[in-house]
Amino acid sequence: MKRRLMLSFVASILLAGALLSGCGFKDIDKRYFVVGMGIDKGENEEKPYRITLKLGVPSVQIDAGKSKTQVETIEAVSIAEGVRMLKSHVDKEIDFGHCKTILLGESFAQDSIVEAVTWMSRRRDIQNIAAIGIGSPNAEDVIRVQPDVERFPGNTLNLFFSEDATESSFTFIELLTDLTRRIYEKGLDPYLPVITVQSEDNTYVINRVALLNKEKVVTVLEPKETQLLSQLTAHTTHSQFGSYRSDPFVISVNGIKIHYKIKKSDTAPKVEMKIKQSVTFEEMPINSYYSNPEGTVAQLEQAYTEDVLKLLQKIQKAGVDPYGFGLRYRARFHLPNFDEEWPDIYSRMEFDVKTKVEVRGTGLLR
Amino acid sequence: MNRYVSYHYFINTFSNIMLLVPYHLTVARFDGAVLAILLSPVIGGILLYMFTSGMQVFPEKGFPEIFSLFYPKWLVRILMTFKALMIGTSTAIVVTSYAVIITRFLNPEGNQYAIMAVLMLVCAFGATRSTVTVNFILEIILILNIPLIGFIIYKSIHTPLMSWDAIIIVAKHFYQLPSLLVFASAMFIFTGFMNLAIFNRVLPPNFRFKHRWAFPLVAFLVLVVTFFVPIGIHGTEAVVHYVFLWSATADSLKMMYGFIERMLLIFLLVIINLSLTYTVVGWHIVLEFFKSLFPNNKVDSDEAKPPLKSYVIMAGMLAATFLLMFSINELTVVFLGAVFLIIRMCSEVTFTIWVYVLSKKKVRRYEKKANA
Repeated sequence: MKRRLMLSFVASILLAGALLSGCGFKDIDKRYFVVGMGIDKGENEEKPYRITLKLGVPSVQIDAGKSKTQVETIEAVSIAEGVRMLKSHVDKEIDFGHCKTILLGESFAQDSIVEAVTWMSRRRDIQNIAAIGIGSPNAEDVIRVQPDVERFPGNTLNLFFSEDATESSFTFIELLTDLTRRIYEKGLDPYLPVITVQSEDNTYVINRVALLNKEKVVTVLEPKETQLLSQLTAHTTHSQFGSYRSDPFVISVNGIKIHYKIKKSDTAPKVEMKIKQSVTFEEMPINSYYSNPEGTVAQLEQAYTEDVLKLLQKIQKAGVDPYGFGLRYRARFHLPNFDEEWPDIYSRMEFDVKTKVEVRGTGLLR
Repeated sequence: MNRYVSYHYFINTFSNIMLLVPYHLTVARFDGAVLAILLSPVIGGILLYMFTSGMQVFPEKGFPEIFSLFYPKWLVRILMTFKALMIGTSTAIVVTSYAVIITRFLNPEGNQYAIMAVLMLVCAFGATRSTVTVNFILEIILILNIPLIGFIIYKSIHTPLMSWDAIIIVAKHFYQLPSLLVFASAMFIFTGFMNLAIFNRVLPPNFRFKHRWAFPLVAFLVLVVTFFVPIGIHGTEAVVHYVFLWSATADSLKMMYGFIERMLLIFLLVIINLSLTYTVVGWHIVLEFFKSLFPNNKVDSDEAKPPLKSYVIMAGMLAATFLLMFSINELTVVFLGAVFLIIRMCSEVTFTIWVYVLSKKKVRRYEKKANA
């Protein structure tokens, strides 16, 4: 009796398992994996979104330049609707599970990115570790580029934003989680890398960063400033510090440590920033460091300090706070009316930067 | 044998994510959550000491036997039914929320109820085994999953996204008084000892509880991680935007050299393992409580084959859980979860004190006998 009961129990589990098959499973060859997505402003007033999807076409050959993709574009009233409509343009199920790069058009990002980002975080199949960037002049042109040397569909752009291939001190990597946090956090503003296309050889250049207030692009930094900002944030985000040039020297920054304190004051609150970096020389006239070590270091320190100061003041003037001074201020001091008081405090803020350069070596030459 | 006590304690601690404890806590991050987190281990620790020293006086006895020593049958039946319903609700909430998580992340096109049916049948099978077997299941699953839990915690603390400024901002709001719900959410993590209401039966007669101080301490660390790490990763504002906060947190982590890059998959594996085990243990307790309602119930913690009534009760449980799942949606799960957490805290505190008082009574009774 009990044995039979037991058996029927097991059988019922197996039977219930049979119910599961066929409900939701679609084979991998019945799916299109989105390998890149672009969101632009539509030309039509009624359809403000122009959505571009790059779909990976599976292929047997894996070789440089053999990657195949299909690009679909549509204009729609909303992003979700556009994606749904695009399903009727292709023969297989569209899957965002492997979409690791999402680009926003430049003019789109100058309008408002909040809705698009909310859509991304709401979708379960878009990863929180997807990288977001700004496509210049628009996202569609960047997505449409088919690099000549690409091995897997859409892989080139992914490699730019993954830390296991190229690591450039000019490339900011902004993940969806961080972007969402920065959009809503009080005292921390978003930034996004700007991706342009090098048309001669169909590759990408990512060496500028756009600073946003809570919803739109305010300013775009030049490559040199981008690298400097990247160095200032490097101790938390990545391990690539890049170089710094102050004629006739070019130094490579091996390590950087930054401590900063905020001093409260009614007239002029002050940020005291201490930068400590260890460097090696990459370019300089022979024997110039050995003949005058203190002078060289002093010159570098002063030049670096000035550049950082200039950058911080530029960012301050733009009224954005990608570095998170506001967040630190909230952590240190009580500020109940942050939204009202902070812009005023930030605009009055003064910066005091001290750089300490430790020379590790001069390369193989003196 | 002390390790079995710790398993029961910590399965409860780790299941807090499924009962939306991080959700309730982060909503109140500026209104009392921090104070609740600081107070709960103290009160939870005191309760743990009271409960365990109470149960020590009744070796190899579960709640039904203990209460029958002192009270008439009808009162014991009412109490046991109440306890069974409490635990039944908690498992039902866990089952419903992991059904939602599975359909959301693993198989969005699948039928939620079919997936649930299979998982629940597996749980039902586990729960109808003997008390000793359930104890062993719990041990194996926890030992298999603790390294993964440790890995997830390690990864989440060491992510470059972590912002300590955000954590400090929230931690500085420690002076606000928590609401009852927030305090109950934090307390939930420290009430795992209640499983001993049944599992005390399988502890040996000369059993002594050891290392009791360590339990609330470790649970406190788990609570701190569950609360502060999402704040560090999502910031002080965006953290309340997520329904499944820890799923979003795990999804923000990257394993560069793992087989799979998304940490989410490991997290889902762990959470499904833990929820299924929680359900198995919970249903087993419910089963034992209901069995004790029968007039001539024979307690056998190591029975070879479960009696027929186990299956009948289990079928009833499944039906009730299914009915609950059909009739509620995501929003009511949150509401029901909140109500449940509050009632659970009250019931846990009451029963702990009750058992403590009964144990003193029993000791006094023996002393009287000895004197007479």
